[in-house]
Amino acid sequence: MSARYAAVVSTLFLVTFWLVSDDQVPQAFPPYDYDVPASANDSSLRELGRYLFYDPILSVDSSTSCASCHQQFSAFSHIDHALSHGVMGRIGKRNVPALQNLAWQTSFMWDGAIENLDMQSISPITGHEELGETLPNILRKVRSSGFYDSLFTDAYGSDTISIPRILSALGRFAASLVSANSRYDRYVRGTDTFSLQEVRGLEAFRSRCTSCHTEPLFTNNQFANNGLPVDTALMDIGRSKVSHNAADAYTFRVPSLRNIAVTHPYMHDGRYKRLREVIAFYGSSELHVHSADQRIRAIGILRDDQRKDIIAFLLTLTDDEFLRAPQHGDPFTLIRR
Amino acid sequence: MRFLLLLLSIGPYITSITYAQPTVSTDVTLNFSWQNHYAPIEFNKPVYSNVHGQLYSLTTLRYYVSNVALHRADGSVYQQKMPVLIDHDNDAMTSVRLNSVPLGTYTSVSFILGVDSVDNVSGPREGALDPLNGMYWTWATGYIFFKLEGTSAASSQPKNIIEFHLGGFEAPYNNIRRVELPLRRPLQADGRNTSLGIVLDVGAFVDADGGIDFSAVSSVTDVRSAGPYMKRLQGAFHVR
Repeated sequence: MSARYAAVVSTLFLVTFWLVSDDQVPQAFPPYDYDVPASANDSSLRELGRYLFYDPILSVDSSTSCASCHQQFSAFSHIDHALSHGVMGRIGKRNVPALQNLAWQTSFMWDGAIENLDMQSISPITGHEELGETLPNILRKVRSSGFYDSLFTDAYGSDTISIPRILSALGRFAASLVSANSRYDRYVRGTDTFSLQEVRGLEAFRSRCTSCHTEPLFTNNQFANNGLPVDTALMDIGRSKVSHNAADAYTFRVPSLRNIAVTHPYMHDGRYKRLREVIAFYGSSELHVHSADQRIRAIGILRDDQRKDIIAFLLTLTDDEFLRAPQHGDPFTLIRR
Repeated sequence: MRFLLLLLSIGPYITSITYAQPTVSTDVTLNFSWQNHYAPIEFNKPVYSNVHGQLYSLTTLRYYVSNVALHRADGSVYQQKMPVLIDHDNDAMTSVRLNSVPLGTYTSVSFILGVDSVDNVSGPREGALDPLNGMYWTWATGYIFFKLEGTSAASSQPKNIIEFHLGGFEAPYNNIRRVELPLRRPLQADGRNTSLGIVLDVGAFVDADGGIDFSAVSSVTDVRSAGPYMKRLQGAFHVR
């Protein structure tokens, strides 16, 4: 009797944990900066958002989905693509950022132009170089697909399909992409070990990199000029384009370094293919001539062994569970089979 | 708690049945219309001239009004915060209904042009703030407060378009503007539903301060440049 009781309780516990696990603030993370819509069924809302995220009908020629450029195995970035690729072979001006721990992110895009996660998807959906579609067309397509009525009912309690509902569902799915179980996380929690090299790398990282790539999110949610020489073909002035503030010229969002091993190529324009190139850039004297942020100038010259140690540490930020989590994967694969 | 809510919700009906209280409020409708220097104006067809003698026609005129308020002489105010989208190309979207305005004599009407900062950073909303209305910037946070589009041969833009997309809610480009219009004939809220006509004079917007020269300025779509145009707009309303 008690064994059966225990089984029921533990099953219930596991089911409950699975259902709410995305919402739990991981140990050591600051409070969530995202409001789950109060009137919706949360797990169904996430599921609706997941379908929309993987559905190419959000693009002008129904060829490209959010997931085309935000691929789970690369932490929802676009591996091997320096600049974003949109519909009809259109190439954007910036590297596709990873999507992870967005519920703790205070603004979005490389320049922080967007301040609300649920509103963010308007930009890639309507962007000429991204999905190139209009909101009225999306509404028409989602409504007439016939596929979504029941998903909207499950999520919202009625099958009314509207743009705000579509946006909230996409935002909710994006907010559920939580990565907090890398080897680094387990090491910090005391449930895993580091090699000596990884320990040295962590120490070097903490002494030189954390003023911007602050633990545990590995970003301070701010913007900085990292001193990269300006690409004269792109002429990307960064945040000042949206803030209209000259002091923000050539500053970009400090990206999280979580899952960095699988999010190459690197930098806002994807100019570096390998981590060692990135570290070589930050650890050299080259950047001192490009009005880099004071914190970056302070890094100083990194010796070869220090560079290797830091890279060894950065590789511990890969969260295999996140990269394979079935609840974040393509829901259409089951239907297509 | 539920019982209390029930009581609260049915309470007013009970009292109204029992005592048949006299009306204490009324509904006031603000009807927004548009003109060109006090003359009628229409989309697409007719062509108008600005002070520079440049001919232009209009295809879109849409804007948000929020915090609509009626003021009494004693300083007391009735206010409805909710943003309303006015679209002069859609007859169903040219009025603001003010519900349950307390009885009295109102001597001025005011509203803000735009959407207040909280509404700008909130998530997706149905109704007037639905991004489907085409009044949300797609590449940045915030609503377009005022959208005027048309064509002028003087414009050097592709297809000779003229476009004024005005917005901006964050310092130093907070372009939310308040309009207050005195009512020469005070509004009597006496229990019968009543209305008030507000006019946007496009000619006043285009021709104020020496006038917009469409050969020099044909596209204003960023918050940094919007300020002076919001100021023009602020002065372009009057009571019918």
